Amino acid sequence: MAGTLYTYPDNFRAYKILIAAEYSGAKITLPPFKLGETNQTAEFLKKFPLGKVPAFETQDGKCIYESNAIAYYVSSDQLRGKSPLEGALIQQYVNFADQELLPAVATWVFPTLGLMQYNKQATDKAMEDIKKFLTVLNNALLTRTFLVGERVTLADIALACNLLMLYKQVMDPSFRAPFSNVNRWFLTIVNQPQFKKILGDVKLCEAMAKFDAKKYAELHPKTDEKKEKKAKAAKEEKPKQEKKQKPKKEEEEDDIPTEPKSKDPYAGLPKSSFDMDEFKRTFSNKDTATVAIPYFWEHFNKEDYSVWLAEYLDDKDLKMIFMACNLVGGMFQRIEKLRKTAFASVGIFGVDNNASISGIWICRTQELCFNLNTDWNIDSPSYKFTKLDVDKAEHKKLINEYLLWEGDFGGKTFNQGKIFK
Amino acid sequence: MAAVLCVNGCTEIENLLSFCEIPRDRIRVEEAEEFLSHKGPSLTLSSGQTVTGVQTVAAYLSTISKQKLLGSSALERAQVDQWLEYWQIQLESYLNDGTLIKGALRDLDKFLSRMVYLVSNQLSLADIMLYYALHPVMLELSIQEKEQLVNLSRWFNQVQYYPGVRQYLPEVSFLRNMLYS
Repeated sequence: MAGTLYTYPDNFRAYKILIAAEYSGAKITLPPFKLGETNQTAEFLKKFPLGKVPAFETQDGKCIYESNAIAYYVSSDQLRGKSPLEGALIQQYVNFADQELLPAVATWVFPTLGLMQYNKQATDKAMEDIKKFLTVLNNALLTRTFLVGERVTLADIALACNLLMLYKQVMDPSFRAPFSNVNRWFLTIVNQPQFKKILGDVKLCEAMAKFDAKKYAELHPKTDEKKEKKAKAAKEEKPKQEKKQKPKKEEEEDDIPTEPKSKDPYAGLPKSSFDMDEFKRTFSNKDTATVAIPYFWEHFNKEDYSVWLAEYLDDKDLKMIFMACNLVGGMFQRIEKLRKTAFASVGIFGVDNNASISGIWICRTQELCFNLNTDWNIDSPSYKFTKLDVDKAEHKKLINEYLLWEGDFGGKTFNQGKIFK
Repeated sequence: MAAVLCVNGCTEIENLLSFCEIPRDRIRVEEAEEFLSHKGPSLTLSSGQTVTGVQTVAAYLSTISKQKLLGSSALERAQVDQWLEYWQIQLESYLNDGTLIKGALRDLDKFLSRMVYLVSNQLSLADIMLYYALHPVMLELSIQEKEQLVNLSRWFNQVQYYPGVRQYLPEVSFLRNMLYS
């Protein structure tokens, strides 16, 4: 058994093939390879139409793609299982490793390498899934030394290679402690001479790696026309899509608000005489009527800040009061970044089946804050915004009423209020 | 000229010799003229020198075996020796005592909860000799006892299926599913 393996270096999918070859003694040649070039040549595409790596050409010119298929080809009989049942169980673990485990591993590990945007919900879900998978393996490995039979098989190779990133990058001692049987198995496996030759010394993670925003920004430069970039990237990154997570990554990139990297529209503005933080502290800690409202009128700077009345447009959609509350709460959560510069007091008025929402927003500059960044205008189109003139007595009264949550509010019955601060 | 091995009734050495696949032209086995129960196996080298004792002979056989049975570093070699000494000095004397041997099995079970092999990550002489020593004990254990010693059982099962280790010893069966817990 011999042949040529096309891959970029340190490809965990290629590890499976190389380790299997260490066990079987298959001779593998690794030609120089440049991702995005070698695999896009006409010659390569003729052999491997998908243009993905790892790809393998046998000595007599037969071409194989898909890492598990290649690993199978270069394996010894021992690695493939000694009976149809063993062979089937090996397939079971190989598929489990790629289809169940790997997506969760990628979701958790790739953000820590800066390869993918971090999404807390997705990561938490992935961690839960991984706990579930490791529990299954832990139970299986209680009475077994290796996954199938009594010797190392392709099942162990495939699973260990897919778990490698977890053990190296994110599973700290306390996370992995409950899975002692998996740990014992993994440590034994990666210390087998055949594994060591390919993987080197595997050092287990000490502290859980977190999302690497800097690296992510480096690897994903922003351009104005995202669409264009994506079209281009899709072309360029095709080889990398060998990592099946890539397409998923791009989907997710669309879903996640681009907060961390978006430019702060308020960056570079001089400090205002109206100290928003100080106002918020006063408002939170002191009596509103006797201290906070006087403080506001004393310090408010109408050049640097503007006050807006926001009225919810589709009042009839608000069936229940609690639904209106959730709507407001959700809006506050989605504009986390505005907390530094904006303040709001929003009231929910009326009763169930006859409710309305309106409030005042105080924000930096004379421009309505929601229009400054596309990430902030998710909820704002549902409101009608009117700029208030702080010098006008009736507007002043309105502001006071909203700050105090008391007054006639133009004839509406105040039910409850929410503060954005 | 081949070395001459006098097994003197020591089946562990006989089995180890087969496991190591040492060609007969290197070591010739000779029956003792009379069986001496107080004497262990002995090996007379081509130089005419003789070494005696099961541990010594086992170590010698391991050095000329193709398999690496004595570890890959000085520490691992010392760990192998440690287990061989444990086997000779403690385990052998426990074998006839029901309570002592149960305690020893529990200790081994605890140790093996985090290890696949006794020393490092490869099969060594320590695993093989302890497997031979424990074989009669394991053969007698009930399914429930084996389940309580799940780590020891897992290790024993792995060693008995390691190619060449079991030789003519009967297979000890283990269940993969837990019946009692």
